[in-house]
Amino acid sequence: MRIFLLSLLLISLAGSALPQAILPSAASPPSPEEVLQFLGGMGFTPGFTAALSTALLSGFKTGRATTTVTFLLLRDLAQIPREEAEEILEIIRYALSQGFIVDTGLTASSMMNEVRKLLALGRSGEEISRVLGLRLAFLLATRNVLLGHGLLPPSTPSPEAPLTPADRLILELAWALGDFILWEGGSPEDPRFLGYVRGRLNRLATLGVCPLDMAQEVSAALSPNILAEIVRFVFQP
Amino acid sequence: MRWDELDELLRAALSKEVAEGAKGLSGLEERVVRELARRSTHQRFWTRVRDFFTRPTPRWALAGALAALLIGFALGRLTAPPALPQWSPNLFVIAAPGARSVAVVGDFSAWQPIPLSDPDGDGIWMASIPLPPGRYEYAFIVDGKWVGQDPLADEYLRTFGEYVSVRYIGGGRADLSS
Repeated sequence: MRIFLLSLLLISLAGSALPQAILPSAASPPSPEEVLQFLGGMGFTPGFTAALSTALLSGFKTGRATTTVTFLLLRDLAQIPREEAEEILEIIRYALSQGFIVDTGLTASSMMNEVRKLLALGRSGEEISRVLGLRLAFLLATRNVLLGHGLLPPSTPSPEAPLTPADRLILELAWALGDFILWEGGSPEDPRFLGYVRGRLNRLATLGVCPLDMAQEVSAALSPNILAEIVRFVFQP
Repeated sequence: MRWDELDELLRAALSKEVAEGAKGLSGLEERVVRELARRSTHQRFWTRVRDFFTRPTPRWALAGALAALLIGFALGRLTAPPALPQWSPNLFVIAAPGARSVAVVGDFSAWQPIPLSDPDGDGIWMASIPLPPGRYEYAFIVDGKWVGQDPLADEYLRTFGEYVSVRYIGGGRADLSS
């Protein structure tokens, strides 16, 4: 009987660990210091390393980047020529300095995940830089045009500012526009363009990825002219 | 005072003391018996406690175990980190008969390979990955070769000539529970 009692006690203790066990397992993320230490060993100039470190620390603090994906990205970039890695990281640093989200963790497409995807596809650093530069241009254009049309609450972009729902909306909208133009081979005049962007935005809002009210408002206000304006902004000389 | 007078006084005083003491003695036996009974009961309680843990009856053993189980679960619930909202298992499955290794890469893994398994050797490789709602790009890697078109995907993208599958988790048709 004592054995029976002891067995049940052990089962109960095991049961106490069950709620943790059924949660998605994830290794503990690296600390910001570990990320910066790795960055420091990549052989970039001290000035670039310092500027990128500052931008990344702000990103980690505000939620515009995560240590997990950043560490994986740096590890990958350490395998390609240093100049190419620096060019890629400079685009990411600039995006952070403009207050854009560059990494959503493991939950969606973003600049850092885009780089890792393209590396997985075996693309060169030069090709990745070109794509990333266009992604940055889509982010800037989307924010400027939406602000210009009064579709976003006015704000001063800052890497230190706390994230707002508009930040995620800009990311998702810019990514949808970029996917259609860059990967679907679409043009701004394509009649499917507006439907594609609206459909994606609404779907993400329904899933709770974007703020529902804001996404519905922006989606309803989008027009072929606004989309064309964004694309013109991206490809302006 | 004479010695005989003093003796008489002492006798009287002693008689008085004895008489008063006799009052305190009345009921002494009863009090002693009651005290012994109380002590006996006290001892039996601890004996019973000891017996409970060393020789539990089946009924008490079961009750104790159930109580421990409940306490364990309650502690587990209290100490567990807050659950992430709406994470649901998503089945990634691909037919790859004869393949030596199959993995899935995607936004959810920062494009790091997550191995699929084929335990019964029927060529159907699968992995169940819990994910929060969102839009995820992914592809399979079969024996090192990129396989970007999953029939269960919601849509596809072409990136530098290679397909990438897309799933909307949390409402898309490919949101399959394992």
